[in-house]
Amino acid sequence: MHRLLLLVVATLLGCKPQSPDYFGTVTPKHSRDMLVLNNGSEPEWIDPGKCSDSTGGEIIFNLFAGLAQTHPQTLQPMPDIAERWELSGDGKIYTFYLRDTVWSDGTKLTARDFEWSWKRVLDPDTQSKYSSIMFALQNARAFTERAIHVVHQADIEGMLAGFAIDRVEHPSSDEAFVFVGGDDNSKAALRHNVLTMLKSKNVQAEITTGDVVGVRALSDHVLEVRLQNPVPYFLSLVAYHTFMPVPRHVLEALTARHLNSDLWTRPEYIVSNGAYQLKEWKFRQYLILQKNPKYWDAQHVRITTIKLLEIESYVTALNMYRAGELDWIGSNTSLPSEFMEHLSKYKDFRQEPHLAVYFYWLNTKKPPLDDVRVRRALSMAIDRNAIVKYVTKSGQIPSADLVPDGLAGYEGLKTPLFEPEKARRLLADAGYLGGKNFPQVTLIYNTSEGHKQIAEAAQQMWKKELGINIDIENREWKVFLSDMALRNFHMARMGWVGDYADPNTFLHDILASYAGNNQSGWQDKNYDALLQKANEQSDPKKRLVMLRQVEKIALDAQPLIPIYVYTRSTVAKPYVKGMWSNYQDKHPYKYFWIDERWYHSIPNDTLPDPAPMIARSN
Amino acid sequence: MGRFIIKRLLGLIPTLLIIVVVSFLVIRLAPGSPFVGEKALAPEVRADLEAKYGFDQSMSRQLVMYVGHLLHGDLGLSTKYPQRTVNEIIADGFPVTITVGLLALLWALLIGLCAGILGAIRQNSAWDHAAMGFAMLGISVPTFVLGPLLILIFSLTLYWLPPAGYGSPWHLILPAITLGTVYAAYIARLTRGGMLEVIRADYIRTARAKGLSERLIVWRHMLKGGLLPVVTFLGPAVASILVGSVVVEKIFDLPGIGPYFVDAAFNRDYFLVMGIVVLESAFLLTMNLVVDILYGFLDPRIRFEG
Repeated sequence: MHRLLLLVVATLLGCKPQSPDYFGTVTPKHSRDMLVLNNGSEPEWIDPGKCSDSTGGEIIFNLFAGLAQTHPQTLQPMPDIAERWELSGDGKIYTFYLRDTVWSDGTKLTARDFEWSWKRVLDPDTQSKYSSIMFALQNARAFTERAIHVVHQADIEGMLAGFAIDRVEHPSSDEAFVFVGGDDNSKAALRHNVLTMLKSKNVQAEITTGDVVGVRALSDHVLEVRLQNPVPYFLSLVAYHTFMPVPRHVLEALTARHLNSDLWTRPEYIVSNGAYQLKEWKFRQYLILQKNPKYWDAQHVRITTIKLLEIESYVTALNMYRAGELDWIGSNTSLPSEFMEHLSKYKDFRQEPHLAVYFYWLNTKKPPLDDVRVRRALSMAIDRNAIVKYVTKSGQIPSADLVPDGLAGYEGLKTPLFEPEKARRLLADAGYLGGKNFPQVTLIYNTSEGHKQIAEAAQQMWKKELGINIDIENREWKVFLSDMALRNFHMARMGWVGDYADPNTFLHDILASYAGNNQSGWQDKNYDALLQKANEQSDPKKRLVMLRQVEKIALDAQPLIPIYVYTRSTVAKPYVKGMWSNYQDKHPYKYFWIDERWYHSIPNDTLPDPAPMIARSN
Repeated sequence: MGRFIIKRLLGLIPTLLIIVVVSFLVIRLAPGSPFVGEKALAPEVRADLEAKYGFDQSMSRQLVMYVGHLLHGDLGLSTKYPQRTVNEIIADGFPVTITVGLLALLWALLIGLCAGILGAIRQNSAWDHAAMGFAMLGISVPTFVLGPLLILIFSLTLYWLPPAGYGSPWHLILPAITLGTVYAAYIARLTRGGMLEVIRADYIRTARAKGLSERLIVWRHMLKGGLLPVVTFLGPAVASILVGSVVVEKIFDLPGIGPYFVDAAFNRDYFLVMGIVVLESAFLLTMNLVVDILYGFLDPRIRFEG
């Protein structure tokens, strides 16, 4: 019996070489052309046009290919399906020239697929939660919001008198788009009434169709894209998954069979055009991606099978990783701060800055936060270094700026991180000397231990530096979001993850007056105008300088209190190679490979990664 | 007997209906919506999504529609998993939960009954103390401690069993033990207690006087009496084991239906919440009925009133 036990232990230890330098086993448990990763949870959609969560995004980025892709290190846009492109002098018309490529079923992929796919996203009937990312295209917003398109009518405003109209846009002297107002339920009826009225007066009017949207295939290989305004970061947008093509022929075949075309992403139907194709999808268990031999650059894809698990708990993911059942815990597994000290001791721990900012929204419509001096005082009284050092403890970068320093060449404002003296003076100027008579103000955050600790730290700092008592309250996620939407808060915790590597993802997407994500109620025409002017600037250097001024306006008005720039911490086995580190935590699987020396022993050096293949192909 | 069952079955319907109506109103009146997210949604898109699920109708109409669909066995669409119906989701996860649950039950009965009988027939011996010590431990150690402890020993130190996942019989061992142990502990205590209560009863003495063998007395007479409290306990226990455990299914990453109850409520996935509520309450009510019927077989003194 004892001998048997000894034998068992010896065999078990024998096949699991351990090293105290690493967290868990370091010998791959599978063949050399395979990797097992975690992807966090069951994706809502793996349809490029409909996906709105990072779980689905991670899969789509590896199954599909867009016109452009981002460089795995610098995040600069690089050619993918389009081999080159041209931009018109006024910065408004892009012409993309596509390679000869095919879908994974062999069907030709043409510029017409892109035109159809983009219009599908914008079509309100598609119910895409991400359609607004395409609003840079000419007339895109009018199509999604079912504006009334009027042609050949000079005095349209006059005719609309008496109707609840949100706004009228005039893209040209001959055309107008009428956006009706009112709440969601009454809009359809109002739209109908306006349309009937216009028709009775013989005005040429109809609900906007996809035909007027600024994307058109000039031939199978040429795609023309017209923008509403110049968008300097448009190529970064084009690399985003919403702009990836969907196989029209598959969707239409399903419809022809009287099946719901939304089911096209199921493994039995799906056809893709990226480095991988979907082989198996077990609901809430795993997905298996197989190398797509028909991808135009398939020769550089090294790992043939990727198994993506859907483990939600980070503890379970770490257990699996430690036992060698996972090669990488994946970018959708976030580790809590209390693990950092322990994990950072190991060589397979990785940490990199992330294109995301942690901040508090201030509701500028609610007193006393309608006073800019109060808002600035609240911001200056927060000791960001202390929060990062003693509370979050995961290498976050303390920041009082909204745009992370160094993003796409942007030089950050470097606003001072902590100015208690100035904060006290501002608060006194606002009439609350020493915090006297300061009204009740509540900071809300969505339920989480991490957010709670930060809120408590901020609460203490406000008490200590300004002598004011701020209440803090947690809200369950969905309640939190609906409180935000209803502006039912004074201060609210938020984290914004940039969708593309450009300052605009912060300056425009959350602070422009008309941005749906601006929860502060702060609107500044001057800010909007300067932002637009900066984006019309064709010289990138000058543009970045102008954007600094734009950010300065926002921070002077302080509709939000930035606290830190996020970091991403993860563990990946040392034999996993080709994981480039970048600001967006994007690690395309097509660059992955395995250092095979780890199958036999622990090597004492690391092999260099070859330069990303696209840089070579250009 | 037949009349009793039919009467009880008919009684289930109004109970279930009340549960459905109350839970429907509670989840629908909770603040928040399945479609609010971190990023703003175009109002047209949101309106269309709400229309697709019927959320644009009045609450009473939605309730009537829901009950109507329910009677046809249609549990509706999920908002969190838009490509799936609630029926599909439950059909996917339920077999996993049932498999783990049955194994856990098997473990609980095996260990619990053995320990209980041992404790009763060797009362106050070392065996008894060991069995009751185990029971005390099993009751006091929660699953979220026992699970990780087993993983640490069997997966991360000995490398005998996978730490999580689903797919092979090996994956089921640790979850079943984690889930079943607390029930085993209760069963052990109840069995011991129940048997000790009848051990000096008149009919046992009669049996002894008849000259029956000790084994026959223990198995046929004592156990039957001793099992009554266990059966009472087993009804709700079986129901709750078989509808899954949030903790165990999360720790071992099992694709069962356990976590839905909490997750779906957080996601405001209205129809999924309702589907799980209906399933769970139907299960619980049925198990209670089964227990009531079993009483009649175990204790001849209990008669069914028609």
